[in-house]
Amino acid sequence: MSAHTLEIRNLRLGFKGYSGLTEVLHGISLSVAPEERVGLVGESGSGKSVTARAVLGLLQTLRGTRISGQISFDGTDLASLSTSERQRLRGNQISMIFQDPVSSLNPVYRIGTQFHEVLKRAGDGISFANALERAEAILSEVYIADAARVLDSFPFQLSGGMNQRVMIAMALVNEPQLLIADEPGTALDVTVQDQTLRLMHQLVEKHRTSVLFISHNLGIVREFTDRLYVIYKGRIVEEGSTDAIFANPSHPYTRALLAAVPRITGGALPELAEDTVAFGAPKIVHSLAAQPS
Amino acid sequence: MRRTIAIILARPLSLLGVILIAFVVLSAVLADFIAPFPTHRGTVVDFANFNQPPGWRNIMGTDLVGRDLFSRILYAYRISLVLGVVVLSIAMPVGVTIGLIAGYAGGWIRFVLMRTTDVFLSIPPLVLAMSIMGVLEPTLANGMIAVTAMWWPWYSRLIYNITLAEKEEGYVLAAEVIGASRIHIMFREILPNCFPAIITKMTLDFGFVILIASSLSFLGLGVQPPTPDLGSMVAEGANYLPDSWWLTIFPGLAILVAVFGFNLLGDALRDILGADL
Repeated sequence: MSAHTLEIRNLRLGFKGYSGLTEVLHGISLSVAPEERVGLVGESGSGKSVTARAVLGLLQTLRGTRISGQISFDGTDLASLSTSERQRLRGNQISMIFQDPVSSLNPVYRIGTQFHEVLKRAGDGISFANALERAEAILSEVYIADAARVLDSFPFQLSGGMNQRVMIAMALVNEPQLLIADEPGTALDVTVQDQTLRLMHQLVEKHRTSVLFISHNLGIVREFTDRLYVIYKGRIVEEGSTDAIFANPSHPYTRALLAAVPRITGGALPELAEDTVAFGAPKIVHSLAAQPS
Repeated sequence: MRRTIAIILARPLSLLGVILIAFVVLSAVLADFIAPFPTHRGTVVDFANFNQPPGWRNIMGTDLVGRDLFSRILYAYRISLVLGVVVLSIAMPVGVTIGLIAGYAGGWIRFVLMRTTDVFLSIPPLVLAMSIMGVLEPTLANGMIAVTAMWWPWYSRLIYNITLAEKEEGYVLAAEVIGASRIHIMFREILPNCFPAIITKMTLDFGFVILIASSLSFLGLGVQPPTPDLGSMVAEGANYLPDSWWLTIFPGLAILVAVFGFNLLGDALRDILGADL
């Protein structure tokens, strides 16, 4: 096993449209060590989700995408893999959880069938009965007691929280090395979101999965990540251990981001000026000594 | 499924549709047993009873060579239904596959497939079918070819639009993420979500296929005599209106019953399955 589960080096990404090239990412570098939980925070449109999609190779196939830089998974450069090798990697070694759990499950299949589909990706021709058994086992880990009923249901018959738990179980059932969570549960209300994220946290620790956690919710990020990257307009502006960044935000943009969190004690939303010059200041890396790994 | 059937049977109009379709299908299947004069579907001449109005011996009257109109209509239904089944079972898979590929693949593939579809759609359907029949010999098989050629573009247009909407859904992305192949995503993920629309459209189309096929044979471009066909029977009788009214009215009503039945059921399915056509 190499030192990094995921390593992105100088990733640049642009979309070519009718009005010319729109640059989205201007050279992003980040890494996720084994069993490490890394957060990627930033505002809408800063390039968080696009980074995740580039890791999965979903953007490379699109026409009009200009991409450069290196993405390597477990020491292997993803660009050097063939399409079928990359497809085998996805769902097996890398899996992903999405914002909206309900629409991420196909409405015409029962949960059990969809589990079977995911388990078949692991390669061995698993039978439907065996797949249901495996699914029941992992569903009990996300505290779904009546797993048999859930597996026999269609996604729209379950609540959002249930669906989210099913999604988490499905993402982890093949024991991936890396889990990419793209704003998980943003479509759910906060209590359910909290519940499911705790479950995800437990499972990830138990299965020793590395996580790239993409979010704009700083509270959640603080709770669930070891290390943090702050992204602003396609550039990483600050990097360091989560504790260090929250204790001592050095970059002007990080400070603005932290100040923008609405307080439950009232006082309305803080007014922040969009200071693009200061926000574009060079990247700040917190000292390695502050990092736990 | 059971729920859908229960709703259909509970609504008066859709129930009527089911009854009409059942009537048409049973007449076609059991024609050999119901028809009082089974031989009259072919070349039979009975000048003693020619051009008789509806009566006890011939409930729908007889045609100009004395054949029982009722028997001939039963056998004509058989041909209409076979034609509908064959046309739709070729046009639907072809159109659906083309629509799926065009919608999911995009790029130049979409351009080629959808522009080809547009070319077919831009010609008025009956004119297209007529010109194909004009080139080919007017037989039942060629009639099927002509109607199929004008029918598949509607399916590819419909499925193309649904695919465009469905491929933005989360489950398609989720399938891409777990490394599913394009074929798998098209046929196993997106296609099942098109079924409500496909089923509804097929039901509605069945009536229209019968209507178009009848129009073709009305113009003399479809099934040829002596094989009974509703369209050609209407055409033949039209020369003897209004005196021998039964020659046109009964085959015409037969077309109406079939088309009406499939339409009522199709409308009901559209409401129940929530398919937008």
